[in-house]
Amino acid sequence: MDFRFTPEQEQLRQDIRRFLDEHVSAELRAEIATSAHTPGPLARCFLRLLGERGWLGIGWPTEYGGQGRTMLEQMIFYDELDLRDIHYGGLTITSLAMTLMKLASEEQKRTYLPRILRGELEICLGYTEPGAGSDLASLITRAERDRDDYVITGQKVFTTGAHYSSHIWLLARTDPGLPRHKGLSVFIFPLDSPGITVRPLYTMGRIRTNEVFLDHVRVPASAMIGAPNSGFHTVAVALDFERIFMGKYARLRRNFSDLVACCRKLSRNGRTLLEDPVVQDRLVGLHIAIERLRLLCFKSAWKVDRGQVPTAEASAQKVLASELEQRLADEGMKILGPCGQLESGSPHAPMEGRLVDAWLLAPMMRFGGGTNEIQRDIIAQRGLGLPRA
Amino acid sequence: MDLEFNEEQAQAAEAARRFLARECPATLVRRVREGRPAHPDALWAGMGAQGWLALPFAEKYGGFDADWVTLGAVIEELGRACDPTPFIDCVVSCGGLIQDAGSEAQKQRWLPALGRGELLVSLAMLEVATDPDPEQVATRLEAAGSSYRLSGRKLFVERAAGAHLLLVTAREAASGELRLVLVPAQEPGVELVRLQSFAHPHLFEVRLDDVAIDAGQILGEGADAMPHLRRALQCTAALLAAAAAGGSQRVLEMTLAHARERQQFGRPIGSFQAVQHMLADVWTDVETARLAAYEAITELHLGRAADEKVAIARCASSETFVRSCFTAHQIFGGVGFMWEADLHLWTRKAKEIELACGGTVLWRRQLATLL
Ligand SMILES: Cc1cc2nc3c(=O)[nH]c(=O)nc-3n(C[C@H](O)[C@H](O)[C@H](O)COP(=O)(O)OP(=O)(O)OC[C@H]3O[C@@H](n4cnc5c(N)ncnc54)[C@H](O)[C@@H]3O)c2cc1C
Repeated sequence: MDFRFTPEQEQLRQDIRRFLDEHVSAELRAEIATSAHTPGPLARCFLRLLGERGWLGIGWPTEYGGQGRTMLEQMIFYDELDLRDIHYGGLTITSLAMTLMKLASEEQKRTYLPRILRGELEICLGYTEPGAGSDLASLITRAERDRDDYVITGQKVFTTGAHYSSHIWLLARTDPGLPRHKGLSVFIFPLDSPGITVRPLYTMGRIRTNEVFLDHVRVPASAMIGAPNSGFHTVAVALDFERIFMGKYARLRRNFSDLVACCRKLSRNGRTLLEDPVVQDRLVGLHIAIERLRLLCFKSAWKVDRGQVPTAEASAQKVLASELEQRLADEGMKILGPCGQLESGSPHAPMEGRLVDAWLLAPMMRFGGGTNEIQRDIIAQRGLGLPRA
Repeated sequence: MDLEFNEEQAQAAEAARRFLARECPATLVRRVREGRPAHPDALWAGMGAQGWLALPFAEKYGGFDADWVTLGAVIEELGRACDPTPFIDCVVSCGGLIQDAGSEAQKQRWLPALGRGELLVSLAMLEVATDPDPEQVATRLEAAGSSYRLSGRKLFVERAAGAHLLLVTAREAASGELRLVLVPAQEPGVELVRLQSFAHPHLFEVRLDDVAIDAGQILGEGADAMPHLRRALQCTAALLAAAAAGGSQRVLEMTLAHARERQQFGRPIGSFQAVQHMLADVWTDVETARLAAYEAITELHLGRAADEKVAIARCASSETFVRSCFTAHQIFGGVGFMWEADLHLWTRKAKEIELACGGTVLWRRQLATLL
């Protein structure tokens, strides 16, 4: 057994750090901090640069122009991005592109993969509908065959990124005659197709998302990924790729370290916060929880690299990370005292208000991307082999 | 033992609920949070007309001498409604201090106006960004001939910009004792700096630079005001517990309604065991928090040393409110996370109440000393 990274992996981390230190400017970070999760011009530029330097393909097989790196190496890369709060383009690269490689036609691969690799395409996810959240198979957006085309009509909701993405990856019902899971198909098409209306939805967590209305949107049959009515399987494949990257520890670790640094600096009643045994005990509890999460992340990546599927681990990672995010933010604020509530930009705001941001975003982490209840079902049923309810 | 309101208290609660359902809709709560307007004048006037703003005051100051439980019942309803008013700060904390520590002349001067809703007072107590301890006071009140000068800095003062008076805690330079000083918020030498909190929409830093004070602005007869402040903080804490109990009760009801209504997998999500267990835990929390709040309030009512019960109620109910909001978000999913949805108004309120008047940390410390 060996829990350490190899010297080569450590070297990779250093290379990534050097690259990021050079190219992630203060201006880029400021843009990210104030852009409500919408990439601005600098973020776009940076995404292209990642493409140019070959970093976007870090986990892609070499036959698709990637670096063919292991999952552990990818984890190192994404952790380093995460530490700098860069989160654009991730899903397109790590989940959708991988799914395309597995299920798309040669022509679709040729159309999309090189452009994704260059950072030119951003694809948003059109799964959720007002009536279909956890129960995705109940969705009613309809795609009807019309000669060589499909005509799509319906409504998607919480389609994050639809206001800046180039394409949408959309799940629609192609055969209402079949049982719920069976009659669905995935399409990919440009968001500027006639008949699409995108309306903003603002949230309590600063992140902006959207409603997407589709009114007789005509797309060619070649926009369909995989066989007709295989959409649920396609989505399951994409979600499996997605889940591995969902519960991450790097940013939590960074916020925790910043909190500790803050406690070393700030004082109360003649001693630093860090000298307060109550604070120490809270911090220690958080520290241990973050370490558990880190170990689980290592285990998932390690399993992938051995050709295994970390089903229970990936779900557990998502549950741990999201609940820890909320706990770290809430307990962190308690530790800091009354100033903990102050937002970035306010006088006396500690940690640039980052705990407040995390606190406001945390509810979404718990129910987004497959709710924690559903994740626990996956752990129990697919992981532990328990019977379904 | 009797764990219910008496008839009068039940009527007060009922009337308050009806009034607030009409006069304090979530749309108003939202507008005040966004600062349009910062103070809900019509609601405040209405509360004045209902007599609420004078509930705790003696009759000779235009008050109703209400019993603590009645006051608690009204405040529980304010919590339910997520009220955007300074009721607890202005009436309970500041009004309570004036009534408790003020001279006869001061009470005559301020309490009737306060009770009619014509006078807004904000407590300016905390000074250290990291420390909720009200005894950490460096603000100095210095004698200058027959009058005084006041200098210092206060943090987390609620709605200072809309207040007529700030009730400032300060140390008298000569004696080192605590004094309570009423300072007009627009006085020369008073500077207000806005703080941005996600929890409380209208918080300020107050800088006091050599403000001229005359003896009539200092509450009482020049004795140490610390016992008065402690007592006021205790009453405030007990009533904040009632507000938190009301808020979390409301959040539970909203969540239950959603769990009954929202269908996934062909059935209401409330039929899933995972959802039921979450709601069962919230109910248990809310039920015990409310009982703790009223036990503390009745201790005050009976005039007993209520330290322990108040501390327990303050902590239990605030934790419950925050936790019930977290669970509500989980059960609401995406729709509850939207800016346009009302849930986050209560979520922020839960934190506002947790942090109010020094926050719950203070009471946890207090409880530790009582073990
Ligand atoms: C800011 C934001 C961004 C988003 N981005 C996207 C996006 O880009 N693309 C996209 O397609 N979607 C997106 N979503 C949607 C997100 O994935 C859904 O919110 C999530 O899947 C949950 O669905 P729901 O909100 O409808 O909740 P529901 O499915 O209604 O769930 C409500 C509650 O019921 C519980 N529940 C439901 N079924 C069961 C069950 N069988 N057993 C036990 N409990 C159950 C849930 O766990 C939850 O607690 C986003 C949402 C938000 C808020």
